[in-house]
Amino acid sequence: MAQRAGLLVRRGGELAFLPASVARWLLPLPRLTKVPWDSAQMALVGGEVVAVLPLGEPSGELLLCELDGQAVALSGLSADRVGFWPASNTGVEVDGVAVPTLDLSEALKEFRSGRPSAPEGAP
Amino acid sequence: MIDPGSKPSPVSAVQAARLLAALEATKTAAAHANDEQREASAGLGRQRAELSAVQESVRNLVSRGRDLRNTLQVLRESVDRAKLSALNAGLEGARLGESVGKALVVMSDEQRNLLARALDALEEHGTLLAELERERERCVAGLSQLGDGARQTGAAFSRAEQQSQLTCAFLEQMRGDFSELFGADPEAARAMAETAAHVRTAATSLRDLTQRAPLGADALRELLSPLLALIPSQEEPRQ
Repeated sequence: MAQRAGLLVRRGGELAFLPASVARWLLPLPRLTKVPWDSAQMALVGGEVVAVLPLGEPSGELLLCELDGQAVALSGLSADRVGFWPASNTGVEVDGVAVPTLDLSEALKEFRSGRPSAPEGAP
Repeated sequence: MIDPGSKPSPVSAVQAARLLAALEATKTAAAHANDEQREASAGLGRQRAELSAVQESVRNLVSRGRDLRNTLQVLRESVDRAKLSALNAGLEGARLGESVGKALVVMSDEQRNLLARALDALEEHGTLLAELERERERCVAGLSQLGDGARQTGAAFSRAEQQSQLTCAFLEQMRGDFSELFGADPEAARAMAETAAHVRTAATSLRDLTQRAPLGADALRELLSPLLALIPSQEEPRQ
């Protein structure tokens, strides 16, 4: 069975898998800045401004990912462990238990659809 | 109202001697009580000073506890960061692939396990420290109550000492007044009381003698009659 390398994270108590090709770097949660008239949050990571997707309650960690060549940071996740696990239909199998891959495209879609409309007179 | 110029009667002199002796004994006892109170007050002052020193030590303990908590927080943050570093090393190993990066991933996992244990230990330390702080708070409250109690006792001692001094002064005044009324020489009054006691004994003996030898007793009564007139009537021999 094929092995998949990646990171196991906890999101609200549930385990989820992120491939090593997506999960790039873990760092302590920096100061987050809200974008005016938008629900998006930004953080300064290594001198670069990255968008932050809140996926849960702040855990004190920020996971820097790479999606379609774009850097995006995830908050509200708690990193559990790194390793190689047998691939399954939805993700990986960890100690006989299927752990689904964290669907970031879905999270991005929710993030975009949840954006509030700009108030009148806003630039 | 007793006229200070009048001479005391023999009976009143006996009573005066007794009163004077009682007065002096009371005054001596009051003076001793005053000394004891002063000594107790001084002891209490020393205890209060020691209590203040203990309170200061407990205050230092509060400050040390705060330092410990801060240090614990720094340790927790450091271990958290070390855990992230271990996970990042594991991610690098995972990206390298199983054949090359497996060792790095295993090492990273081992590090993560050790750091998780360290975090658990730090949590336990935090809990113990919180328990210590609760105990310390109880100590602070107890010491505060002790301090209040010692302050109140000290104030009570001070009031008692003042009262005792007033009693001594009052007794001294009474003694002066007494001497003025019943004669300046308390020794003479005391001697008179002793003489009265002897006369009383003689009267008792005379009563016995009357029963056994009436003639001799009559002769003696004649001799002793001036003395018998000096003692109270209830002590007179029965006829």
